[in-house]
Amino acid sequence: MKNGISILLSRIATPTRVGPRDFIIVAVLAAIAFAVPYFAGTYQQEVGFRILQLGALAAAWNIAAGYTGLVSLGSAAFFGIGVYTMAMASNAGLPLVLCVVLAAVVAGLFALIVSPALFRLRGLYFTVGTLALAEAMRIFVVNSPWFGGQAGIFLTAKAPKAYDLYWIALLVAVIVVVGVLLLLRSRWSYRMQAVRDDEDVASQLGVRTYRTKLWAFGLSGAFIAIIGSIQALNQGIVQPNGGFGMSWTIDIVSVAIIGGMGTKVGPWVGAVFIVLLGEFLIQFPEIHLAVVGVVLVLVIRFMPNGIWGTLTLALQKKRNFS
Amino acid sequence: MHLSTRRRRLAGGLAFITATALALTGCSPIGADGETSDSSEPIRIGATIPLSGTLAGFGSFLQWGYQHAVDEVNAAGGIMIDGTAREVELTLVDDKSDPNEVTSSIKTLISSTNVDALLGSCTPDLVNPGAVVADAQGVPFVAECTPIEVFKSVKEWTYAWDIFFSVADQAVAPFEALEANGIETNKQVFILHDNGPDGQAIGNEIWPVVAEEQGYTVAGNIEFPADNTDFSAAIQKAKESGADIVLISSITPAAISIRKQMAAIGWTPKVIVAEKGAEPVQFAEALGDLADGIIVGAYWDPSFGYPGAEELKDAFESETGLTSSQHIADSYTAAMVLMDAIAAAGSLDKDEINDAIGETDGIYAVGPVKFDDEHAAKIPVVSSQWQDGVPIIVWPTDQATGDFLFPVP
Repeated sequence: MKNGISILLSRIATPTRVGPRDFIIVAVLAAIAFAVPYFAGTYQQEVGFRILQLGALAAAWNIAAGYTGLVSLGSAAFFGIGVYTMAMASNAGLPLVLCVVLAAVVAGLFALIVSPALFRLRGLYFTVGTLALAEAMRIFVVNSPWFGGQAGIFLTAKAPKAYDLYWIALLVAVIVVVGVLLLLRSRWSYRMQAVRDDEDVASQLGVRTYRTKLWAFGLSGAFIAIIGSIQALNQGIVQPNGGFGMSWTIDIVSVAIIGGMGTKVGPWVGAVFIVLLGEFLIQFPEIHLAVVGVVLVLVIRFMPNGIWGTLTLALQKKRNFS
Repeated sequence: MHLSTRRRRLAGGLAFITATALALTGCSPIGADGETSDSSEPIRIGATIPLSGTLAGFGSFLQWGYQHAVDEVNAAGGIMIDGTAREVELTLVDDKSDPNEVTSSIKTLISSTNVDALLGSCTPDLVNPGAVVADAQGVPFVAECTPIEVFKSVKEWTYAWDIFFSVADQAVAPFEALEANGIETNKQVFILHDNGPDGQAIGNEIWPVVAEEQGYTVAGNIEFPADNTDFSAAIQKAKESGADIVLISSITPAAISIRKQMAAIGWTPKVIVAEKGAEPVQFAEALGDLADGIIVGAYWDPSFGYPGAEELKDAFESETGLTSSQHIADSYTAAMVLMDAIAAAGSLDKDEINDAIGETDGIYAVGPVKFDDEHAAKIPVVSSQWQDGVPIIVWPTDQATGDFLFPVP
C-alpha cells in the first residue's frame, strides 16, 4: 500500500557506511563546540543550547523514523516524561546524572508498555496512534494528582548558568550522535532498514521485526527523554502544556524534514536552520510562523531529501559524472 | 598508505583542538554579559505576550497597554537616569501561548536585547515560566494577569512582582452581587472548572467553601482539562442537578463552547458566572446575544475614577476602533509601576530598580498598588455582567454602571 508515509520514506537518502572517520569528526566538532563558552557570550551559548537540543532531538527521532520507518508524532510524550522525571527526581534530591539516567529508563519502560498496542498499527495508522499517545500523556499528567496539575512543578535546585546548560546539552548531543553512529555500525542498522523498506519481506528473511522496532522506538524515546530532562533544568518550572506540548513534536519533525531524514548530518543542518531562522525573525512575530511554514512546504516540494540529503545526492551525481 | 596519512592528519588535528579546549578549561567561561549602557542608549524593557495561540485574546490588550505607557513616558521626555533624560525602548516578543517560548524568549531578551527590566505575559501558564527565569537571573519583572495566590504559590520571589486580583475575592464577588441585587434563586450552584492553577484553586477549594458560607448548596462539581472542547455530558449533569446557578472557571474558548453547548440543548440557567474565560471582549463577540447576562469578575472600569482611567479607555477605543478591556488598565499600570520605579531609582542598577518596585505605593489607572511581603499587590474585585456586548458593573452597587440582568435571557 503506497501511502504518504511510505512515499516519504522511499525518498529518504540511504545512510552511508559509518567508519572511524565519523567518530573523529564528531570528536573534533565536539572539542570545538566545547570551547564556545570561552569566546561567546551568554546569548550565543543559549542559541547553541537550542541548536544542540533540537539537533539531538531530531537525531534521536531519526533512529525510529528515519532508519526504521516508525514515523512517530509522539515525541512530546517521551520529552515530557524526561521533563517531569528530572523535576521530580531533582526535587527529591537525586544527583543530576542519576536524574538523567532515570529519565531514560522511565522512557524506555514507557516504550515497552505502549509498544504492544502501537506496533499493531503500521504506516499512517502508527503515526496517528503515536499522536494520540502524546496527547493522552499530557491529559493524564494534567489530571493526575501526582504531577502538580496544570500548575506543574517548580524545580527547587539552583538554576544552572547558561554555559553549564550548554555543556550539559553538548554532552547529551555527543552521547546521542555517538549512539546513532554505533547503532549504524551494528547489525541492528541493517535490520532497522530492512523493517523500514518492507516489514513483511524482512520478517520472511528472518528479521525479528517486533524486537527490532521495539529497540529502535525505545532507544529513540530514551534519548528524547534525556534531552527533555535538560529542558526541565533550562526552564526551572515544568508544566504539562510546556513539557508535553505539541510544539516539540512539530519542531522535531520540521527539523528532520528540513535537514534530511535518515541522514547523519541532516538533523543538525535542520536544527541550525530552524533556530537561526527563529532568532532572525524574533522581532517579527507576525510572520515568524508563516515563514517557517512556507520554508517547510518548499523543502518538501523541491528538496524531498531535505537540505543535507539533496546536497549529498547532488555531490554524488557530480562525482559519478566526472 | 594514503589512508593512514589522512588518519594521522585527522588525529593530529583532533589532538590540537582537544589540547586547545583543555587549555581553555583553565580560563573561565563568559557568564552574564553585564554590558553597561551609556547615556545615549535607551532604557530597555522587554516582555513576551501571547499574540498567537490559545491565549491570543489577551495579547493585543497587553501589547497596547505596555506600548501606550512607554509612549506616554517618552512623550514626557523619558526617564532621568544619573541626571540624563533617556527614552524607553520596549521590545515585545510573541510567546505563541507556549511556556517553552516564554522561557527561551525571556532568556533572549536578557542576554541579547540586554533588557534592564521585564514585564509579564498573561495567565499563570505564561507568567510563571518568565518570572522564574527573571528571578534566577536577577532582572526585575513586573507581571499582571495572574491571580496573586497562584503567583505566590510558585516560590519565594526576589525580583518578580505581581499586580492582580485575589482568586478568593473573585470567588466571593458573584455571591455578593446576587445578594446585593436581591436576586432570588433556589440557592443551588453547579461548578464547572478547568484544571488550570487558578481553575483548581477556585473550583475545588474556594467556591465550595464560599458557597456554603453564603448559604448555597453545591449540587455538583466537574473538573475538565483546560483545553477541553466537548462539555455536553457535564452540561447535561448540571441541567439534571436542577441548580439555578452555574459557576464556570475556564479559558475563553472553553467558556464560549460551554455557553453554546448549553444553548444547543436548550438549557439556560438563571445565573451564569464564567470567570476568566468571559473576560475578554472576544467572548462577547463570539457569542453575540448568548453572552447577555453572563457574570464575570472584573477589576476595572473607566468609571471607577482612578487617575487616567477614562483617558486610557478613550485612547484605546479611538486608536484601535475596538471595545476596551480591563487588561489595558492592568498592563498599562504594570508598565507605569516599573517605569516609576526606574525613575525613583534614578539608575539602571537592577537591585536598585527592584528595591524601588517594592517601595511602590500609589494610585494608578487600575487602582491602588502596594506590594505585600510576598511581592503581590492586590487590586479590588467587582462583578460585571455582559449586556449587549458591553461589560456592565453590577456590584458593588455604589460602583454599578447599570441594572442587574436577571434571569439570563
